[in-house]
Amino acid sequence: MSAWLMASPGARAEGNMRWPCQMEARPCSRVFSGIQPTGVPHLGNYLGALENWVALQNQHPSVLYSIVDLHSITQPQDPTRLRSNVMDMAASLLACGVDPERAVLFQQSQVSEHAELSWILGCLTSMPRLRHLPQWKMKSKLKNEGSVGLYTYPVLQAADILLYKSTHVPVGEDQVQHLELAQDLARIFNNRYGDLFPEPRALLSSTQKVKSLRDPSAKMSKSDPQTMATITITDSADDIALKIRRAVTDFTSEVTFDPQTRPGVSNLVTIHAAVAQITVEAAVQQARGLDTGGYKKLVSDAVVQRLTPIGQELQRLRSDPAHLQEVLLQGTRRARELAAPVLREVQQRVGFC
Amino acid sequence: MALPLRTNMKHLIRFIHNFKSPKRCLCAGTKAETKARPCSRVFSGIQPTGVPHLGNYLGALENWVALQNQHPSVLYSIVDLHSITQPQDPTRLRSNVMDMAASLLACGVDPERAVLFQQSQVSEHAELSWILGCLTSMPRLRHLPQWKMKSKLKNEGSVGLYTYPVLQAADILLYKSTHVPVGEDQVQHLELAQDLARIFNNRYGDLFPEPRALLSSTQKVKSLRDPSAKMSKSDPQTMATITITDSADDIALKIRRAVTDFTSEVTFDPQTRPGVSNLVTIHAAVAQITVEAAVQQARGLDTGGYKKLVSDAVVQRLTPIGQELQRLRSDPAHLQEVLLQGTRRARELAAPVLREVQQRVGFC
Repeated sequence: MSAWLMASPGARAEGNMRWPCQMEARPCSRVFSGIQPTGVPHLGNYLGALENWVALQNQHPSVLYSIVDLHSITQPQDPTRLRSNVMDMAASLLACGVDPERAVLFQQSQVSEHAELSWILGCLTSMPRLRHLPQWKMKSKLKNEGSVGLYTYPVLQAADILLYKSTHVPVGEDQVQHLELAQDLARIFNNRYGDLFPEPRALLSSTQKVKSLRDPSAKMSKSDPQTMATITITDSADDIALKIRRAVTDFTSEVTFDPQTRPGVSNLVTIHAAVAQITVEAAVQQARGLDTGGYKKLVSDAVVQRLTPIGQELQRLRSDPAHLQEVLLQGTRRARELAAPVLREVQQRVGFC
Repeated sequence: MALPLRTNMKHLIRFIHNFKSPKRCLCAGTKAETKARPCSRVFSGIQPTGVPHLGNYLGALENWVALQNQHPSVLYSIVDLHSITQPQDPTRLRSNVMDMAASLLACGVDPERAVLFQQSQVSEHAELSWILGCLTSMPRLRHLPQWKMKSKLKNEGSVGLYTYPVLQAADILLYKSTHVPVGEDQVQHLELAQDLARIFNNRYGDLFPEPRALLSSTQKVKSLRDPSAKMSKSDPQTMATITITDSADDIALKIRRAVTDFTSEVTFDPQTRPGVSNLVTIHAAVAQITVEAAVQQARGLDTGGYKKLVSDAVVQRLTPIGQELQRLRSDPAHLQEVLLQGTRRARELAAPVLREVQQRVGFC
């Protein structure tokens, strides 16, 4: 890892200890993001987050991507499936283009400092503060009662972010309130124990959300009961073509981009533009003269062209679990190297040592 | 000389049985089990509140010293993670941890026989606490003592305060503890630990023994100025509480000023004569005699005379402890070393258990 991230001994005494690269004249940033090990990602995950992760690793000097298995057990998980999901997610991230030389790719549960910092931050968080956050509101309704883990989900998220003194966090709109908690906790800790954490900022993605192919009012989602609604990045060319052919559109045959009144068709335009890496206007242009059926074929081809290499790479990686384990092991090691001194500093300031 | 075949088979079967017996028993296959004595591990924690008072000593710490001789494996933890569930000044906390370590050693905790360690230095406590939290429903914690008591004092309690009992359960289960010395106010917290052991075992296979309470039979030591309340460190009246480092003069003064009543003879009757009975309780405990014997010694004395007798007994008991405590405090390097060794030994026990938990949950 770059040596410039460690403050040189002489400078420790003064200056703002918050910034990871305070000694450098160039802009300093560290990106952190996490993803639950839900198995193989779908097109919505890819276009909505993972494609951006690949871009960010080239734009920022320090980037950490974590497979957040501690978070995944806030809802019941089958252990064998979880183990396999973690491997699948690691393979997926690599297949999508995450480069372990440029990003630290690691498994959250293997770095003890996450749980340790989460406890300390929990002692700075009031109970009411968590009551109205999205994750709890959404998921505790589904069951009789949510677990303590589910309720404190955002505190562990804050720990994930602050542990690395992250400056930027790519978030969707539904995660903004959780990031606000991390910002508040950074401020509360700094006020109480002295400046240590930078307040992390949101990197809002500009991509349109990918909708369900069968219900364009809803996001494309892994848990959708209709398999036709969701394109997984490992889907075959035939399956992709079938799903897009069956996508809900409307009675107008020409293709226009109008998400309010024509959600189904607009979803296809969004997908087309994103996978072909062209603008929405250019996509609509390419659709001129085609009816909906013809456009669907064009979109299928574009999706297949984009996803096929990723799917092949994913299969290749999956067949080499030893390599995946090694990548994760290296990532865990590097994450721990960054996390351990920060936790140590936190412990000293709190009075544990 | 070759043993008969039947004996060989018997030994072989027992050997296999030991391997197959549930991993819950923490000394399966070890020397402890092959001896005739039972296999047990005691765990207890104490918050670093500084130097203990007479109530802490007689109510818990004296018992800790006895337990280390009665059980093959004993762990005592200074639970600093728990202490920050309420705001702590860092400098004072650091010093309180040292004071508590010195106090435990001065009271007779033997680091050769008990593992004495600082909770925050063993990462596995927080790690197991997260996992157990995912098995605990929110309503389960709502009515537990710590939360009910302390969240009323402030506007809102912290998440840490609410989840206090889950970390306690982690403390206990991490070492596959079989016995936990608890006061009555902690019994409900122990029940949570038992429930979580059961829930984990049902879900992921037997791993944790269900820890049992070791209820103390000692009477509670009351405040010297208000015998309806426990003796407590946070009592605003300093006269109410005897700290184990109090001088002989201070001890005598506090006991002299202790609230009693208008009857001059000494009897043991906690319901109607709480103040006097408290002195009898203290006398019996520090002199290690029965309450009856203590009342006997008070015969012919009035309250004032008995107070002098009790003072002398308390001074005799506490002075060596206080002196040892001062000696230890003046050697912080030694204290650090004791804690470091204890942390190392605790981690040696905790790491394989957490690893097993992680494997069963599906993290690795």
